[in-house]
Amino acid sequence: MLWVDKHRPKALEKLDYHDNLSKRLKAIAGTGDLPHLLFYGPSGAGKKTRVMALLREMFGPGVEKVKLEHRTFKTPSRRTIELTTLGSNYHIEMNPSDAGNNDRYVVQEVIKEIAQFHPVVSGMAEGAGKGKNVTFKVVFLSDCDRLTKAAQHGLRRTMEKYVKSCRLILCCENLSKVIDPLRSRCLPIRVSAPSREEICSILMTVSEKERAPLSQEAAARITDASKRNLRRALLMAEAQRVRNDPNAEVPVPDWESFIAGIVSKIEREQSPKMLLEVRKDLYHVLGNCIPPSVVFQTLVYYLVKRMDASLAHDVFSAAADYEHRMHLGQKDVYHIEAFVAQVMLLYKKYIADLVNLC
Amino acid sequence: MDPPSRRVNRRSFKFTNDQPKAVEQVPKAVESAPTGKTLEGTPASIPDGSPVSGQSVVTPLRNMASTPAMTAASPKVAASLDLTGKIFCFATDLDSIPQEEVLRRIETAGGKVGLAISQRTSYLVLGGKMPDGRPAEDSTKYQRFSDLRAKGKVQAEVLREADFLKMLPAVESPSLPSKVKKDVRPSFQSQPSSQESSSRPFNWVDIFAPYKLDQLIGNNAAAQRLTDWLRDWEDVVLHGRKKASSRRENGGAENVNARAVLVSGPPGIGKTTTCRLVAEMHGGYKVLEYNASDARGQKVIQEMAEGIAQNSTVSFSGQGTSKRKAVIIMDEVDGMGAGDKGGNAALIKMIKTTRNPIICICNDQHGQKVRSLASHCYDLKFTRPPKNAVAQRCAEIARQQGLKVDIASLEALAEACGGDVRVVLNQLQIMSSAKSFGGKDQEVMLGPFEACRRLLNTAEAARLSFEDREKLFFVDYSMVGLLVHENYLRSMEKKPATLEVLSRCAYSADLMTVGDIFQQRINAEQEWSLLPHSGVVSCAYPAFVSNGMLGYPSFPAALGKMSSLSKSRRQMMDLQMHLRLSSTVYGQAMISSSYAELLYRRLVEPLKENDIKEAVGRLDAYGLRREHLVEHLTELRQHLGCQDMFKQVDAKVKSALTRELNTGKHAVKVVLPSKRRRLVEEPGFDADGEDAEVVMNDVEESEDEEEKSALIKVKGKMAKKPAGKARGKKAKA
Repeated sequence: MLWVDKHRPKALEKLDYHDNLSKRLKAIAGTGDLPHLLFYGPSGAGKKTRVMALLREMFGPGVEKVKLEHRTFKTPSRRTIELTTLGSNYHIEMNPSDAGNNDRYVVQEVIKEIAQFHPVVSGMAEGAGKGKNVTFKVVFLSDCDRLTKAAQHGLRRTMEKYVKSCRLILCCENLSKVIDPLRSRCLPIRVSAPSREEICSILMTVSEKERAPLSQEAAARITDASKRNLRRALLMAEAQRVRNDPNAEVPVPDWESFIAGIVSKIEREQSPKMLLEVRKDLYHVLGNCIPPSVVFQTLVYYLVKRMDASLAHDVFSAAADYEHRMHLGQKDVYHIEAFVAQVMLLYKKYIADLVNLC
Repeated sequence: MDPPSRRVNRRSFKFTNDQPKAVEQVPKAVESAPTGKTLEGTPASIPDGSPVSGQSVVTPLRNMASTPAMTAASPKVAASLDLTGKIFCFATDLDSIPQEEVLRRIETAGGKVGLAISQRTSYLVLGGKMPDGRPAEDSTKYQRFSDLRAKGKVQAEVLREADFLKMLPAVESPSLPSKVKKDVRPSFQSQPSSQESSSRPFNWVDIFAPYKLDQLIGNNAAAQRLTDWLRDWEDVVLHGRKKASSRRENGGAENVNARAVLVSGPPGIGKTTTCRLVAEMHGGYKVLEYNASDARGQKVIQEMAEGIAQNSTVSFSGQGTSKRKAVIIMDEVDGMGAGDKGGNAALIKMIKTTRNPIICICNDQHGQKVRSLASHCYDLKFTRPPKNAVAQRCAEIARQQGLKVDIASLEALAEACGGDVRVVLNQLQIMSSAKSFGGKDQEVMLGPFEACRRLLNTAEAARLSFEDREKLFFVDYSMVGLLVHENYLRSMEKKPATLEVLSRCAYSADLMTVGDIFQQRINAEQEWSLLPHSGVVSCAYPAFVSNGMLGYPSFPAALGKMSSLSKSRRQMMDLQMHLRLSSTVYGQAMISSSYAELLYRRLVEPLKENDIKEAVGRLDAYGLRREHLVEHLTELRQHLGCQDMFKQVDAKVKSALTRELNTGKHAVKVVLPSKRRRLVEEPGFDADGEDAEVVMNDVEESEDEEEKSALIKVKGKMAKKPAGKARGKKAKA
């Protein structure tokens, strides 16, 4: 198994950082009841790990006895949606955003279905030893910021109505994409990215456990490259290990260097022709399943890094504008391309101004 | 001014015949004429009515009702509309309505028609041109009228045809039966512009309905036989002089002596028209038509039959009774449906006793409803008219309407419509009206590529109005937008990359993002009303902003990319499903955090060193299978040009790996339903299916490899059994 998966802590006590949060979660679990929870924070900060640890704390190791289920849902328009859910006796985990535009029906169906059956093993969770009567099942929706607005609106009444028999744990990266009514119905829990020191120390412990100890510098280097994403840091550390060269520079991922290549193209020439070429590259990146918003982020990151600081404001503003539009639209390439065109224009203007000044 | 005209003035109408203006004012005068006395008292009401009467569509009746002052002043208004005591005189025949019809209508309304100008004449109507082409003003009657008026001997008002028609339908319409259309004689020869069309049907089908037998297209023999049958009907049926029946080709005798005839044939070929014409031309009969819009239940027909059996009077016009006998046309007999219970049987009964000829019309004479009827009738089949005959007639009509159509395309149209003249004419009319808003036909013929080329080529686009551009979007609204996006940069490619060119590109791209948002709304919320706007924003305007030189537009890559993108998404979701049991990584982060990349390396690296056991162990740890390594993970990396490391693996090792994985010892943690099974699967088997697909994940991370694989083996069996069972059940079912 990969290091990330192998060394993931399973119990709340074993979590490495955010001790305060762990204590609080433990307190919540201790009461035997849950409000609806909304975990948010950047990717690789440990949201899911915490959710699972919390569930384990509440229900005992039984939550890890999971099985996959393939469910089919029928929409009113007679379309069938297939969705895989992962569930134990105590909880069910799913990613309704996989259902695309029809996620609304999935969300409603699943919650209603769960609400109809009170858990038979009423939380006298063997091993939990708490002896508390838990009369609800937990529905864990990951990526809830990717749910359509309709699905989110569909959730809000459902989660109030069936609160007796089911609790929701939502998980997302970007809180601003969750509608206000949902946020207000949940207890928000922020899982911020671990600090550099925390990542560093985790890297050291893990690498020691794997009998390939990292030096302080190597760990620091990986931490820098990981952008405080613990998953990425661990993956990078393992990749370094595979290369048998823990002291070498940490290579950036292929797709990132590819996007850096796009940025240098933008810098080199600003013309419709180059824009066409950039479009082709964009198709490659998107075809590689890089989420388009990540493409935006990376583009802006490299653009701002390379271009003059006076352009930064405009680039950010354009990126924010087009990224927002992209979420409203459906063809991601259009929006990224429009952004690139805008940047080209800005840069060309900038150069023209420079020439005029001289 | 001469005395006579002053006398006219006394009635508060200011007109003299010499002034054409005065003639235009006549309709007002006509409206108010019957209530002349009231008007004299309230002269203000004339200007009052004038703006309303300017609208040609509004009939005088409504005009008057809409002027409250007048209705209040004279309760006689409604009654005064009848023409009792009025005497009309026609200088020339009317263009738009047959003269007999006019006579009938005037009589119905209580008016009279005078042959010559006299003192009692109330209105002199100027119709169309005289046969020799001179205007109606040159007619002898008008000349005489002018003379007499100059001498002060007559007071008649002069009416133009249009004005006359305006007052006529208002009188007529309440009592007008639904079959006015047949009475209308087309007047296209003289006045193709249908200014006064308010009183005439708009549809060409109605305007150009044949009013003479020789105008019928095709089926001449059938029409002739119908005429013969009707001519001899009285002799045969009433006087018992049987005709010798001719032999049909197939040997069966024709039932020429039947009391009724059954006309059958496909729709739109003129059955009803022919029957009506034949019946009218015979002259001896009044036509009584019943169609599917009339109630034709048993009771109704029985009553009808009783009336007819006694051969008593049938009232037509509401004015007195007519002594003439009637032809009963039962149209659409196969449409005697649910509401007309027993109507068919009653009809047959009526036929047996009738003393009036009955013509039944249907589409399919072998239809179940009609079959019993058919045996009592003289059978006449109408066939589709030959397409060239239809085309010829249509060409004639098109020519009269100022529409240029070549005969070949008309023939094609006739053929496409199955010889249905009605459909052909409707199509023709639609086309001709479409023509007036600018060459729509041409755009229909355009392909999306051509449309895109026009939009983006400056030379061609410069000639297009903005409206034209938007119309080009509708050539194929799902394609043209994509094509424009694909090609707008290509068209600008050759231009020097100035700031202006670039800003145009940026602007276009910006517009198209908005268009994309529109498109999303249309797709997700079905808000199709946004489509035109989407057309402007995603196609017409961007192409207006940036265009240049474009040879042939290239196919939108977005479509191809979309399928490859969805394929890699599918692979990713597939992988994720397997990894889910042991990993928290979700789809979005799998690639961007290089999780997949590392996993791939970790899986391939032992293979390179021929360490199959290690590789299989790693696959097992995640519950992955060979195809995930070989297909999913490999293909997901390929988009950015990473090399396929699996190819570097020795072929022997590869086959050894495959063999090892096929031994069945290895964990299959997740079984996805295959496409084939999903198709067969019925809802009833869902429970079984789920059991089969689900394998519990072991909780403890077992150190002991053997124990684990044993466990898995058992589970593997468990997994297979129910599936087999389910299949067995299905076979039984």
